[in-house]
Amino acid sequence: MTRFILRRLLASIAVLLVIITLSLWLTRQAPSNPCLKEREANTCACVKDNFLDRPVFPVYSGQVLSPVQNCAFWEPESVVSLGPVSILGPSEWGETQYSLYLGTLASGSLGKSMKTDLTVIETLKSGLPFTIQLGFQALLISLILGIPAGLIAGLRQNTMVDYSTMSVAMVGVSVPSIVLGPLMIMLFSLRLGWFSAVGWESFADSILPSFTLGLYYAAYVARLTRGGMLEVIRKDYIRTARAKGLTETMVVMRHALKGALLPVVSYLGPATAALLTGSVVVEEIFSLPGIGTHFVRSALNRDYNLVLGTIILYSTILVFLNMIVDVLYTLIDPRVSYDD
Amino acid sequence: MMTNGFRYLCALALLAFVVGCDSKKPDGTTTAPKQVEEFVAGSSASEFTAALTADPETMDPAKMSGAVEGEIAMNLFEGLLMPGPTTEGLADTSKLLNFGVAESYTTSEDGRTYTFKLRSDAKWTNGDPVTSEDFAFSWRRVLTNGFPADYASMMWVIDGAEAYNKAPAGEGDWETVGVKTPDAQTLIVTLVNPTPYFPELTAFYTFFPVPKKAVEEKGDEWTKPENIVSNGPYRLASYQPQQEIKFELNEHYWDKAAVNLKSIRFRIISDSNARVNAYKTGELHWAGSGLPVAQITALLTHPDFKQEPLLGTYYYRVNVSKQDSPTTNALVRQALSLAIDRNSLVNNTLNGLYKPAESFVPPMPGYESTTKTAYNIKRAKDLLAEAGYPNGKDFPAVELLYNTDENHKLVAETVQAMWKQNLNVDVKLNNKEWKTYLQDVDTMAYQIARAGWIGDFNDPMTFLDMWTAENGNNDTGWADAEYDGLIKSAQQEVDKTKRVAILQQAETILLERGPIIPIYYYSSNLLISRFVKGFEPHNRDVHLFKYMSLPSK
Repeated sequence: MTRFILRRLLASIAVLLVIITLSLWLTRQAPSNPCLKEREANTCACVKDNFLDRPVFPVYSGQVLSPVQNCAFWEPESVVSLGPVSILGPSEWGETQYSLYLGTLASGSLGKSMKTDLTVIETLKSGLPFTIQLGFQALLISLILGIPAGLIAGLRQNTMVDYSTMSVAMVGVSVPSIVLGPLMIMLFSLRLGWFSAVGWESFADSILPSFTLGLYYAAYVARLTRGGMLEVIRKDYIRTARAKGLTETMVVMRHALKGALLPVVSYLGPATAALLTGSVVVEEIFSLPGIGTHFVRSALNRDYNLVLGTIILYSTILVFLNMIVDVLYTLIDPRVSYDD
Repeated sequence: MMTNGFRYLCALALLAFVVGCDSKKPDGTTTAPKQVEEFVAGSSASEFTAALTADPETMDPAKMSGAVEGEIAMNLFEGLLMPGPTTEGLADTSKLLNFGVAESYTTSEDGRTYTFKLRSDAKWTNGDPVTSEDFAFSWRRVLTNGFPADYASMMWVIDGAEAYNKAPAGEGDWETVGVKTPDAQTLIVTLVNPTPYFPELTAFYTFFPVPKKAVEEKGDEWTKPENIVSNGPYRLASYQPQQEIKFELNEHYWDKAAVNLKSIRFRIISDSNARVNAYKTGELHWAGSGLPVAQITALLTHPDFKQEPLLGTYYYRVNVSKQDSPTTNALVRQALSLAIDRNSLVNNTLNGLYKPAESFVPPMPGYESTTKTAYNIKRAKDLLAEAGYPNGKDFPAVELLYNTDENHKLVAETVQAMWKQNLNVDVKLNNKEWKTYLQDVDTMAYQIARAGWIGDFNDPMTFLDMWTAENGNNDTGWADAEYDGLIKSAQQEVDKTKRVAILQQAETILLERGPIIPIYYYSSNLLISRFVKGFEPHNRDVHLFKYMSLPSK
């Protein structure tokens, strides 16, 4: 097991490195750049501050940057040109945007935001607790609502209870949070005045967003639980349990439940990840101080450092959550083993 | 107020409603629904609360260039002069300003030298006096080559400033720049040209003083809440990104007796619908500007709604550098402009939220355009025929670029329809995301592009000098020697009446053969509690909290 975890850790780091390299390249492929403003502003200083006058990789094609008036930009000392491709001399490989960024990472920083005075770490640190709390509350809601609903529907298959529960679940899966959120605000904030419409200042402010985010997953969990229950309830060992004369509650709680929940458990990993990373829309609607907003805005602003910082944070979360789920699997299902 | 427990019950009721596994219906009859129309702004806020549309990019007045940042700087810092409470109904530009750190100033005969006397009781939040040396230090900082000051070029009106700014760091000679400090209370500024709007520039945040000691000690960290030292009516009490900024009265402020609102809270709400929602639930006293058109339209008759003219113009920028484009012909541009029914556009498409543009320079104290835009289909058709496209025949399809936005789309579609109907000219609409749009405009990869310009001070120069050939904001390829000559002579003219006449002449050229089609004048459509006193219309949307008060009910 330890060997498995170690192996997975090493693989994860390699995956992260690939993600960083690819994302860094991708950010630079987007048209425009962080320094462009509506009005002629001090572009020279901004470009130089953010090393945008350097090539991204030692091998590049075309011009690094369209010329800006009156700016003295970084010039490579040794460069070999092969047709449209230019190659920096090895002595200057440390001067590319990529190596400078890796250097920043190695020093334990994620760089400075290219739009604001805050560092990327400061920016993410102030939002992360909110995003995590929102994600977990939504997860809790989805489980508390989804599992009982799925169980009831599964046990009363093809009855009115089943149909109505599953219809509602179908609606839950289909209604996106961009519709549900404003509806919730209209009803509970503007009409009834029970909750504040925006912001996150007390726990009460997190209730509407948590529900908005969690209901979709609750519906999904309900469908999964129902499916699992239907499969398990026809198994021989359930018939045996009934034949032993156990009460129906005992049969369900003791024997059926464990098997029925397996699909839910394997869904937990991706669901947690999706809840943590998928709060963008909800954060925007309710104006919450989470990090989901940065994900979108930083890309729109071409704030390369913040885009990369957010991607690194999210992918780290995803990679490690998946690893944890794999480990948990061995605990729930003894048939699964990762040891050679 | 309700207890949290009750809120939970409500949440559970919601759950029963949504999941539907419970047969009990949600009981909405016990609580009488609070009608939205009855809202009272700020009723659930503990202190004066205003909305900010984004986190400030910086709190350093030397670096900033945005509206959010301006709002912060105008209240935390104080320049030599400060904007007055209002710009409405003023004919005399000198009434636009109040004294700030300066208690008086004199202008030399040739209009090129300003001598400011600083008040002796002006202090920083740490109690240190604000001296002329602080100003010289701050201005020198802005003009240092490589310093990321967005508006450094605004200071080029000072003698020697442009050369100093462009000289590589360390090579410029500060002694050659027209900023002198004979003593701690005197600041003498020499300008390149007589610049009648220079007093208003000193009321602009790029010209605000920054604390020399704090900046030298802390470097870039000096604007952090724990380090920042400012000299305005307020000090920064706290800042939580994406949530709130708090101001408290600066105990060392020289005019603190005049300040009514002792503390200010900003809520940072970037989504415009969320801002209106927060206003309706009583969490804000002032919802800021930039509210969604749909929501605002429903609130037009609400007593909290205010419409204020802004010193800004929404216009179409026309690229004249593309050889194959019909828009290189001034007659075509003129025809396109004449074929837009601005009244109908503003009143029918935009619900009257703005004012039809009669010129490029919006009306302002001390200036009125002499040439006006017109809606004249016949003349437009004649001009188009004269340009070689009778009744739009053989007119190549032109592309109209705008940045993705509901409002811009509405305007573009309406204009497209008007040009088709009036001139039989086809226009393709092309929307691009903001930064891509900026790049297309910057590299002149467009034919016609939507644009907006907000003036930085109450002088037509802020709208006119951008169209000179070498100006970085021109972005159209338009160069007109006569126009450039007029702008230059206006810059050098000492006599104010003559200067205005020259500028009017220049604007006429701009409207007749320039690269622009004005559409509407901006206005600020905002929601502010009707109980707030001292909030008066200001054409640059500068509203100092210093002038406001909120009588307790």
